[in-house]
Amino acid sequence: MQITPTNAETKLESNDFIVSKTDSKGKITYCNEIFMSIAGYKEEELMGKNHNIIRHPDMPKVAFKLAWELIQNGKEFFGFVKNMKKDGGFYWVFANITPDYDENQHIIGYTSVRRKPNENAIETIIPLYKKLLELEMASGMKTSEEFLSDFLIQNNTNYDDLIISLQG
Amino acid sequence: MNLFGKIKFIIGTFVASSLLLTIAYFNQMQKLVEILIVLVPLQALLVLILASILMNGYKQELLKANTVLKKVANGNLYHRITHIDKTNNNLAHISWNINNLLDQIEAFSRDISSSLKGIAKGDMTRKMLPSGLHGDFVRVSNEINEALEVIAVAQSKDEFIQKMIITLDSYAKGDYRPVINVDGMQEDIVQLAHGINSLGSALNEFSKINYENGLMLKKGSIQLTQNVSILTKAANLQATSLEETSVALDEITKSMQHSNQNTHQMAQYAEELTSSANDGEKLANETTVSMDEINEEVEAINEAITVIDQIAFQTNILSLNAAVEAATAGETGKGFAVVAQEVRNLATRSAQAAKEIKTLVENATSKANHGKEIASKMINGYDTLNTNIKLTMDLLKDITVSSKEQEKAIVQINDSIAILDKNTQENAKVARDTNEIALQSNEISHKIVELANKEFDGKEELQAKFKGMA
Repeated sequence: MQITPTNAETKLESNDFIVSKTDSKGKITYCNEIFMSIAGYKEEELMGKNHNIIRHPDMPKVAFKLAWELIQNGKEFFGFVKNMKKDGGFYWVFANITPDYDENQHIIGYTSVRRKPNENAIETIIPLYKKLLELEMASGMKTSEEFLSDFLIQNNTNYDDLIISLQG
Repeated sequence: MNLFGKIKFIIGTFVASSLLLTIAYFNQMQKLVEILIVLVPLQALLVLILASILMNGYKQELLKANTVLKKVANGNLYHRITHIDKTNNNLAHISWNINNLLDQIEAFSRDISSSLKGIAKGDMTRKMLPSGLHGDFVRVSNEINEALEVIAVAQSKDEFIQKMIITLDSYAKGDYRPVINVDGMQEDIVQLAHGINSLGSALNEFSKINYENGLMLKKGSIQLTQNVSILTKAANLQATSLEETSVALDEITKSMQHSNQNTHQMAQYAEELTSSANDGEKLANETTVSMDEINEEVEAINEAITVIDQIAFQTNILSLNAAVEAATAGETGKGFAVVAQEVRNLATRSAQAAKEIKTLVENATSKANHGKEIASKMINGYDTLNTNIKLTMDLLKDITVSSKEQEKAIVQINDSIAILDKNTQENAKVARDTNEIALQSNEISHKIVELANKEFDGKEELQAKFKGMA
């Protein structure tokens, strides 16, 4: 079922705290009430579905690649993410994804906490994502990855520092 | 209200709502009213069964929640209550509140974990994220952030102090280039950093000057050595050419003395020549006089010859007269005629002799005149000779004067050469001494360059400036 994206934006409240969990493959195992009310889904519509159900087509793939690389290696991921609602609208979040471990320290899933993003950060990130997406459309993810890497080197920073300093 | 009270309340509400639904059902389906009245107890029973079913669902929800809470109580914050039954509004609320609480606790716990991991690795950017948390979680998050800030400051100070130690260590090893960046440095240690930077800057400057001086000295001493070598060579060459000049001058002096002697001799010869020329002239004059006297004598001879010629003529006539007389005297005069003939013969011979003498005298006169002419020419020649000798003598005098001047000049040249020689020898000695000094300063410059060969800013420029020296 294809959702057509619209320009209707929902802005998070400063107190909003979206939480969701997935298994190690990315299938949703938990979502909190704020998630459901903002994304416009019911619990049963989300449980067991892949988390990319809320992925917005404006997001460059390289962002998710980076996220997966980090969390699969037991590291946390920070990022500004544009998510798509069930009705095609969108909402920006400041996401923090961390791995979930079992008693034997094996990764059994991931928890994503999404907070209200800094407005200025979004203004900065929109053109960057647009550029990355263009590169991906034109010549694949390798190009956008290289562009992002060069961009970070040129600005004498790394991905985490850039994102954390943008969020403030 | 305890849990049981709640359950009762929920059942009551449920029964009431069931009755209302039944009544509604009854109102809509009027034909079944009687049946329904009959079936009231059955309805009540049905309600009880339904309540029991609902109770069972309720129990299951509680068991689900309990399972999650048990796991969480064991420290496994990962678990959540899912597939929440929305028909049990209040129970759903409880479940969601439990989930919300778990979300808060888990996020808070993970934040603490990440922040502490960051700090342990020296990463001070990862802080607690109070946004989205509630109440105490926010307060404690902020408190933790404050504590992290203090740790970060201490860590940062420690890093700065480490940097200072590394910088000082580098100075101790002779590399004065590092400068401590004081950006973000705490006030209480920034003065120390400034002090170290000033020290580094002073050491840098000092080394630069020292190195530059050393290189300049080295360059200068090398140049000095080269120049001294040139100077020594020049002095030696000068000494050699002075010696050669001296020898040549000696030869010139000798040859001048020789030519002075010659000049002197020539003057003497010229004087003698003058005297001889004068004698010659005198003799020539005398010759002229003698020639004139000869001419006079020849004139006298001519006159005598004329007398003799006249006598010879008269004698001839007289002989002729005698012959005539003898002839007239006949036989007696015969002898006389012979005498007369003889007289005539003598007269003829006398006339002939006179004629011959006259020719001889004429010749003599001619010769005498010729001799006079020659003498006269000789006199003129002697005049010219005398003039030339005079000129020559004047020239010789000039030569003598200039020779004397030349002699004086040569003496002066000799004196100058002697002074030059002395100076040259002194120069050579000075050159040798200077060479010694140049070698010493070269050695010193090497040592200075070696000692000043530290690491400082501007070293490469100096090395480029003094190419081949460093």
